[in-house]
Amino acid sequence: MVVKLKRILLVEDSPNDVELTLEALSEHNLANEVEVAKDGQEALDYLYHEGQFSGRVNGNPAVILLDLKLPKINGLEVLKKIRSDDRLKLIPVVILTSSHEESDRIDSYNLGVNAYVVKPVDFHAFIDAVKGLGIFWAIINEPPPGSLA
Amino acid sequence: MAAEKEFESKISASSSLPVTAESVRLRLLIRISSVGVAGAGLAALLGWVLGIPVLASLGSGMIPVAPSTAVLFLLYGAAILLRSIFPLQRGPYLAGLFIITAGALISLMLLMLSYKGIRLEAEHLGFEIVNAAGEVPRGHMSPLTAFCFLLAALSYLSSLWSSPLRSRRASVGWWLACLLIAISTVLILAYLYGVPLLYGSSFIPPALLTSLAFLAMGIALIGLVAPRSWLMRQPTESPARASHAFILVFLLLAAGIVTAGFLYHRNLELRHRSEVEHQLKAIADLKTSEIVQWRKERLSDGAVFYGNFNFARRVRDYFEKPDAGTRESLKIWLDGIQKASQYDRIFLLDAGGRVRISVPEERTPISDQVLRHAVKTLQSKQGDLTDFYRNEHDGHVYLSVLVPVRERDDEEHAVGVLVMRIDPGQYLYPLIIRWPTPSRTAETLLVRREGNEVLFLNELRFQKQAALNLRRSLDQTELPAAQAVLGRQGIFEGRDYRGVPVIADLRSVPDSPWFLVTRMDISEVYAPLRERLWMMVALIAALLMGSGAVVGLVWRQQSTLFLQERYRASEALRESEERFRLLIEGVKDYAIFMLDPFGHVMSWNQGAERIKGYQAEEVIGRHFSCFYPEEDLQQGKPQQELDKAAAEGRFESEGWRIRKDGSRFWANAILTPLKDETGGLRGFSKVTRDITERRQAEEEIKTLNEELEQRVRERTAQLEAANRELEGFSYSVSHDLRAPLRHITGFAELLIRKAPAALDEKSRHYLNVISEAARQMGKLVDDLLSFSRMGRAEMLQAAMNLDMIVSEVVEVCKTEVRGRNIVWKIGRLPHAYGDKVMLKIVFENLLSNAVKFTRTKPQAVIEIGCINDQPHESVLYVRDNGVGFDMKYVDKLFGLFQRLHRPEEFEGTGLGLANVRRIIHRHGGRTWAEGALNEGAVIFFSLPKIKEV
Repeated sequence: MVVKLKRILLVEDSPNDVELTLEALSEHNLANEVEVAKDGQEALDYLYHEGQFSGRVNGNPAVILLDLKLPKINGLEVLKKIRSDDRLKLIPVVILTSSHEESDRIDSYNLGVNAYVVKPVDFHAFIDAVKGLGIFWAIINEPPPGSLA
Repeated sequence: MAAEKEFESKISASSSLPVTAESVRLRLLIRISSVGVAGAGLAALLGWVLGIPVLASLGSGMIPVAPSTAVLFLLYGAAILLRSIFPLQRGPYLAGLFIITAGALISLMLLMLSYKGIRLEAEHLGFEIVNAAGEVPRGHMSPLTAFCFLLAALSYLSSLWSSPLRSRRASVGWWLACLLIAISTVLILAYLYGVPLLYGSSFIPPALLTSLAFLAMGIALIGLVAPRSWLMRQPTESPARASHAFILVFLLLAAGIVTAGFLYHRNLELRHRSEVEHQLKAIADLKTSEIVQWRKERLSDGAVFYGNFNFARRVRDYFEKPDAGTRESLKIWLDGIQKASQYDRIFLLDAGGRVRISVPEERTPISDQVLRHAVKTLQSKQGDLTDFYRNEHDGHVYLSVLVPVRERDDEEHAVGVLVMRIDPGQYLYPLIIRWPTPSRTAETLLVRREGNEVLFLNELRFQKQAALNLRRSLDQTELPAAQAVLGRQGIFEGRDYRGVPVIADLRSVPDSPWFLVTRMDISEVYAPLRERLWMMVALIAALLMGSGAVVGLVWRQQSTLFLQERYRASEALRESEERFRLLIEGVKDYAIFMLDPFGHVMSWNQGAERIKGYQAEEVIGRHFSCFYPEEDLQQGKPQQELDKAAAEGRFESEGWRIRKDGSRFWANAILTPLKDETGGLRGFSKVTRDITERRQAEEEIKTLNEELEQRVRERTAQLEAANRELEGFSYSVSHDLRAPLRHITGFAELLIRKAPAALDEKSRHYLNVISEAARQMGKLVDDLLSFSRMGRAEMLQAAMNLDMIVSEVVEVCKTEVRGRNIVWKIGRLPHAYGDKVMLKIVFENLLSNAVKFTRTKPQAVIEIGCINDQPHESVLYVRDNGVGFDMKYVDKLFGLFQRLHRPEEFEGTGLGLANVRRIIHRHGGRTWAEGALNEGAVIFFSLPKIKEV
């Protein structure tokens, strides 16, 4: 059975984290359907098919893994933008961050985030967490209409 | 104008009384009395003008007020009234002075003239005044009246010329007025007793109206003079009720005295009168019986001859043959009778009426009345006594005994008539007139009726030739004689033939046509009484004056006591005022001074001198606005402050004031209005303090405060900034510090995983150390963040069950330490009020510590309990039997990053107990610890108790 992988948008400025995340995802072969945006602006460009992504033809990703601390436009602003746009607001968004801060959690959920995951320092724990996320959102979860292909 | 002013200032001191209820009443009394005086004069004058004498005399038979007296009353009354109404005006003052001086001169002149016996016709003022004969002349002023006018004038003038400084004059006036009242009272009392004084002599008595007018005048004068005399030197506040009580006592006394005197006199009068009546009756009885006796004797004289036939024969013989012998014998006979019985004359008439024999010989013819009577007698069979008759020939009054001369009883015609003529002047009149006691006016009248008239038969005491001449009509009902002949018997009071009031006994004389009137002048009847009355009136007057004097003395005594009391009070007041003055004047730290209602300085103390720089004498009288700086003056502050103080009862202000030398000082001033009992504004008190130094100090404090506040603001801003930085820092720490750690562990792990073959054992160990160190640092970062959060996070306080929290935490611990032998002793824990999450962290830290440090023990005992013996806090503890600690390090136990063990012995960041302490402190509790090395440790913390609901 060939599982049709759903596309994941990973918004992460730290290349180390990107690499570790992709590594974690790749352990379950989830990494080939991951698009990476290096900052908030890039994430929005991707979603709006603008800038370097102007030629993008496929639809919305099945899930967005969003870091909070981002250059240019930070994660919360990106989330806000997504949730205020009729075309984007249905996309599931998971915050994947190093921040334990209560205020960050509150703000995120207020803006309608679907999940909030703190990146563990421990590598094994990190691998487990990202793997779980990938399996859940990329395979198990049914995305809203218009996010496929 | 200037003179007017001077005049006013001269007399105002004497006349302007304080307007009190008493002075108002006094003024009213003066006015009523003076109007009464003038009214009396006016009434008398009207009586004269309109011809109504009763207006001037107030009763018939009483003397009227002379026109001159009336005019003087009118003028005096007007003068007193003027003085009372316009006490301060020059015109009425001069008018009064003129009137009274003129009155005094006139009365003095009249007094002197009457002393000389001269009576001026001018006194009648042109009125027709008829004087009855024998009475005192009417229409002239009594000398006593003139004297009284003189007294009144002197009293009035003394009131005019007195002043509070010259009260002696006023006292003289007061005594004069009292004398006037005393005289008029005596006169009025006498009138009241029906025995007016000075009547019945040539001295002109004062009329009743005059006496009344003088009484009123005396009262008015006392009222006028009293305020200036010693009477009024008593304080006006003297209890009015007391003086009223004295007046009442005096009036009661006076009424009692007068009434007692009146009753006594009345009784005396009645007794005296009945005595007089008895006397009159007794005398009348005596006289009547004497007269009757006399008549009987006369008739019996006649009877002697009537039965003497022998005599009759001789008479007839003589009539028929008149010879000398018979005549001689008859003459001798008759002569004997005439001499013996004191007949005036005896003669024989023959039947023809001719006188045949007369003894003594006399040429005077006999009266026709006798002849007429003799004709009747010729037929009579007995002798008869004629009434009084007047012999028309000699004009004398006689009575005669007529006896018919008969030889036999049955003889029809008598031979002749024997006439025995009686001269009443010889015996009868003296008998009638004679009075057993010496009397000035008493007499007895014998009268008979003649037609409609009463005829007086005997000679009268007060009228010559009255016998058979004096007749009075019976219509004169007041005449006792007329009443007598009309048949009245007993005591009668009336006016006799002279018109004089008399008291009389009336009776008829038996067997005769005569009536006897025994009478006496009332004036004589009451003469002894009048003397007694004089004495009694004098006694009553003396008693009145005496009681008045006693009452007055007692009153004066009282008022003296009152005055002494007042003096003492005023002395005490003066002393207390002196003390106050010294107190206020001596105060140096406060300027205390008084202002009049307009703001002028009235007093000045030493403090004011010191603070303001002015001496008392240079500032008193100046307006207090001179203490204010120019800007305040322009705003009208001084007056505003006065107004506010007057309106609100107090005004306190602070502001700049100017000293005499022009320098300024900052003052605190309190302005208080001073009011009298009636609420009238009397002025202000002003208390001023120089608080320049205080103000400077205050300003300094203010500046310092401001600086401090500024500094606090700056610090706060700095702190806030630091806090923000800290937040940013901790955020960075939580986010950025963890990322590299993750990368370190992550890539180290990846290296081990991806190239296990390329690594030898040593390299793998290094990579493991790298990972472990990174993980350790991650843990440290997390703890630090948690610690920082505990300090900053908002507390969500609520009541909670500590038992539950502890059991949750214990459960977690138990799962972590599976396989170890741990005994949990969990006591009953109290409810607490706090942040559940934070308190849970506390227990997590403490229990994980306990678990950690008992690791080396084969059997760990962890006890959680509560010591509940403090009123306000619960003390909880966690005890373990672990490695414990040395008490000398107890201070370091709760410090940040403080560790008492090496990391290889026991893992940890050194933040756990620091965090516990921080949380407990934020809950208002304390933390402390006890322990010993290898013997375990007890960590205590306290939490405030929940107040029992």
